[in-house]
Amino acid sequence: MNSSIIHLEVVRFLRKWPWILALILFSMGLAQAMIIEPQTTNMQNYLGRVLGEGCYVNVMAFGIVLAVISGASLASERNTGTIAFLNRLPVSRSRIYWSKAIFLFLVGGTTLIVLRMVIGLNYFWSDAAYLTNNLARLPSFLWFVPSYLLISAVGICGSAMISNPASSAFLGLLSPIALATVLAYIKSESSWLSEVSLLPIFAAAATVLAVAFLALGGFRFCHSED
Amino acid sequence: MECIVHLESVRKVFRDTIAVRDVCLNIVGGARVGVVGENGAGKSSLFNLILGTARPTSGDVRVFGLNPHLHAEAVRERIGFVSAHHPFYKWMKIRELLQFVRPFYPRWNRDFEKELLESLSISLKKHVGELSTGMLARVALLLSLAHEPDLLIFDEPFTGLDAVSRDEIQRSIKRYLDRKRDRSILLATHHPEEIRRLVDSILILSDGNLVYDKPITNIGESIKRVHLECSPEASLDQVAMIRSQRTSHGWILIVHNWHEGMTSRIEQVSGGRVTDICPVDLEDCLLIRSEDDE
Repeated sequence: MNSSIIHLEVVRFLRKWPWILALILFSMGLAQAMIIEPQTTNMQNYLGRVLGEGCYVNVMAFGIVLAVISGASLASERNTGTIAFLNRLPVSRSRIYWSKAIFLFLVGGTTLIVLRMVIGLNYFWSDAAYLTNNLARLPSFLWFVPSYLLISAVGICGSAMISNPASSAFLGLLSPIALATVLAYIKSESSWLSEVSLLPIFAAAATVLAVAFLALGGFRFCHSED
Repeated sequence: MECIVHLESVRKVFRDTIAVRDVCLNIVGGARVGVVGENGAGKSSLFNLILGTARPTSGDVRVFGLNPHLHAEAVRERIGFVSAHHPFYKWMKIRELLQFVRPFYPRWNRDFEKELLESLSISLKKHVGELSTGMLARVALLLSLAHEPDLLIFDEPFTGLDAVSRDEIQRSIKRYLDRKRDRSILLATHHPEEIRRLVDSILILSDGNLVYDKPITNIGESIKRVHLECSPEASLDQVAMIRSQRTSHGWILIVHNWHEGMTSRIEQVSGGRVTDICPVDLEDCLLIRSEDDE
């Protein structure tokens, strides 16, 4: 990796601060709204569970948007032609690629931590007992990490090629995951399906796809020519 | 003299297009070489091979004794590159652009940078996006020279520039080369005055072939303009020529590697009659290309 390119990415990212601020406000507002419903429904019915899970979906949505903003970095470099400038600097393509990828994961990781803190504090302020009772649900949150990686990887992979196919792939993969998540909770009303969630399955698939996309994107970028 | 660029039977193929055909080339330290050829002749592909941004389909490329694709960092640290396009980040100020580029070059000379900023009249406070084409070219030149490269590769750097900017940039390049006698330049251009001012030998590329690699003064001995009267259907495939132009009576051919016996060979192959042979100078050579391009 190359510190100059990571620094460049940080500067580029921070230049988009109005978007980031809007996302944080939106996310915090949504997180606040989520507090009320899980408490009143106590996570015992369909609505309560969906709304409770909404926190995670919220985190994911926030992460997705950030990932798209930062993941589109290479794609925009291609569109504006600045990739030619980078490619002629004394730095290998693999270093460029991995510097951008590492920055993306740093952004993603930081986002998740900050959001968890915000949501956790909201819960704590509203009802400390709720937070304690739901600590067991924390591991399920971890499934969102591979999902997030998938989104990031698609961003990088796509940006290593061209932006439009990346967007299509991104939406194409995201839609079934979101649909499956909702379906899982609808079905959870029935007794034998109540413990079944498709989310882990998709998250596992996401992990595999993330690695595959990441490798493919890196390979294509590092072996492409001007 | 150290050989800084060595190409051995290098071929570059893009899908079904052969961009560079089995080119053998040696550039030594201190060489001032112009690269001439019509659009699509293979000049940029040749430069990309030297820079390591493209890999040869076959053959071997060595720059400073290294494979430029595998040792991109070590090779490009010693190269200054300018093309006709300057795809810098438009949102950056010149100061930020310099701050970004400097760390990539261990040999970056801050004093020389200041000198270039002054001589090229570049303001650090301006954004790249608000610069004129001429000013962008000056910034590109600054970035290519400030690390005092051993090899300059300029791929039509004067395209779209007004006479003042063109002259200013040429003077800066010449000043650098005069000061650093052991540094080399590969300059691709369509303008004979730039070639005469900055280089002393030329490479002529035609359809990916390297057809001339000698001092400018020897062009007339190796390359001839041949007026040929023959049937328009005559086959000229076996004649080693750079360009051909059809006329009402036959063809005008620009033939390279001229030697005794060439006249009879052309007449034999074409079934026609050679009516005139004259040496081609640099201007003629480029002019014919331009006419054909039009």
